[in-house]
Amino acid sequence: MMQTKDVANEIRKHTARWTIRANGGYLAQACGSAEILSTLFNDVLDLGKSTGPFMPSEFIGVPKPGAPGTRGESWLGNGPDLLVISPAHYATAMYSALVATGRMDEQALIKCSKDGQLLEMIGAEHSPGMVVSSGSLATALSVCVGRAIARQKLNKPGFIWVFLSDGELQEGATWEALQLAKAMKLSNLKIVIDNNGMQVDGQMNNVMPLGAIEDKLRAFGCEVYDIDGHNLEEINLACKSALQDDSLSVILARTKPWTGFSFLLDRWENNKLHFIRLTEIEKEILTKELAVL
Amino acid sequence: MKEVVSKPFAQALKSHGSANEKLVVVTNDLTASCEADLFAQSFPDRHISAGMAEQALIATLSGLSDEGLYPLYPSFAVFATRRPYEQIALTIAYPAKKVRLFGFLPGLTTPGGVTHQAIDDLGLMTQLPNMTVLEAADATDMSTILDAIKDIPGPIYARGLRGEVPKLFKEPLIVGQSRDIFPGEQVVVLATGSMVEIAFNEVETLRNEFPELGLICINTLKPFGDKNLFERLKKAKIVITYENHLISSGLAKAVALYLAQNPGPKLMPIGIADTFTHGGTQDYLFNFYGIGKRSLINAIYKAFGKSSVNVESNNDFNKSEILLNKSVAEGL
Repeated sequence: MMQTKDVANEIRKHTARWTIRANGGYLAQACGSAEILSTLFNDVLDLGKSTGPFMPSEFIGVPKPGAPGTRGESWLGNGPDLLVISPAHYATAMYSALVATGRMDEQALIKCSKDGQLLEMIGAEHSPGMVVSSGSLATALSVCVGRAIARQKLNKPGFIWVFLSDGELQEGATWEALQLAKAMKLSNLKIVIDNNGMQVDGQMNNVMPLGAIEDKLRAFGCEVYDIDGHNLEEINLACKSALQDDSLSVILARTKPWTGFSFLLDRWENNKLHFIRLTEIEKEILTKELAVL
Repeated sequence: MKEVVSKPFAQALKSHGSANEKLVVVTNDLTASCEADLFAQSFPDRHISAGMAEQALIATLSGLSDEGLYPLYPSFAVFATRRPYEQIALTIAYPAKKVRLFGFLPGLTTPGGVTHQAIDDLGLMTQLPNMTVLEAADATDMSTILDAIKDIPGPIYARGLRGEVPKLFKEPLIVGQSRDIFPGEQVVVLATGSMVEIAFNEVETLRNEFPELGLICINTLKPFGDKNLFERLKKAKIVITYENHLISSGLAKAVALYLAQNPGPKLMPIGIADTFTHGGTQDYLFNFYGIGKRSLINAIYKAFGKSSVNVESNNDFNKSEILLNKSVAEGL
């Protein structure tokens, strides 16, 4: 098993290669969340063994009544815990994590990201590692509230971990979900927020400031862990502590989505970090820095 | 005078709850209004009060279904469909979850006005792939619909009736099957939901004058049609659709799409034209928007080539005091 810091590195590398190959990708999302995802996979969740094929099959079709089709959830494993990525723009980061943790063939990143294959850029529920088709943001948390309520009622073991992006806190549906989760006293639902401060138009403070997120979350009754989202030890400790909480826990991970590659900071400052279509110069820098990462 | 049953859905939901321990009912602050109070009292552990938060509520139903429960959400049709439309599309219809949505206050049946009148719910739900769409027309439908849908995979939207509901039928509702009420072949009225009772009475009377006048109740809007219905359409010269919904996206649309591909009778649609609506008593609104019994009678006369016996006008209608519905929880 790869060490957690190496898994984080691999997430950055695989996503960087994807971005170069496709000449575009959600690189900053992977760079901001690499430590969070690697810790969740390696040190926190009891995911069990993947039940999805190591080399994913082709896309067979959208779900039909009684025929759900390929389930991205299979690659997460048959263990009691579940990891749900809410912002589906993080799909490449998830695919990279699956490769780094031995759940999917590295070749799938190339072979299965074409037409008729499962690894879509904005993941859907047939995409490996994706549980909900949540490309329209602030959808997956409510689905997970439902799953957590059902597990509570059916006395099923395990924790449901939801990975949220801070942009989703602009959506009212997120707060509706937190309200319900609190009312239902869900202790089997844990939330990690990637607080990277960016959205499509640029820095959130300029687009739609969120203000004191931690205070808002506490006002909704959440136990909040305000941590550095790149510090493996802090992430691990907060997660372990959250598992002991008998109420709704939220880990607010402050991240720097430019972490790993030097040109990303310029893009942050120029409000062009959400989607990376590389310039020739950026491509050179990325290729060079990738070689020594 | 036809038999009237008080709150048939409340009883049905309770007995269904006894038969199926996986049934969970999720409500948005309209528990008694949507006749889920008896269920909630009988099975408090299986009632979830989600408050007025329909976006999260809908996606929650999807999650409940993922883990093996059988979730049902009864609400006013506008809050069951229009407000949380995207969540229904992406978390229920797309993944084809076995979730049941029930919408009450169909069309113009409430003084609640535009915010409470579901004139587009059937359109919104039928256009979603994977969705089965039903509309109940009487107390028997409301008593039997839960049994009728229990084994159907995928999501279902059903428009329902509450409070004092007329009983028109003896046989249980069957998904995918229309109900033959009167056999006349030349002019066939297809009616849905609360309009079936009106059509029943008017067609019964007019059959003395026009023995070739028939009536069919459409319970299943999607998938549309069955063998018997298609046979009847083939033989008819004129088909009149009669619905408490926008013509452009309800029953008339479904029939028009069918007839465009299977040419036969001429279509005369009666329903809400391309307009929003306002609040008032049902008789007043039916008259104002031209979907009352006089519109139906006129259409039938016209279909048989006779001039209308009475012309509907806003001016000759006695605008009455708005009487609040005493048979439901909140008067709407």
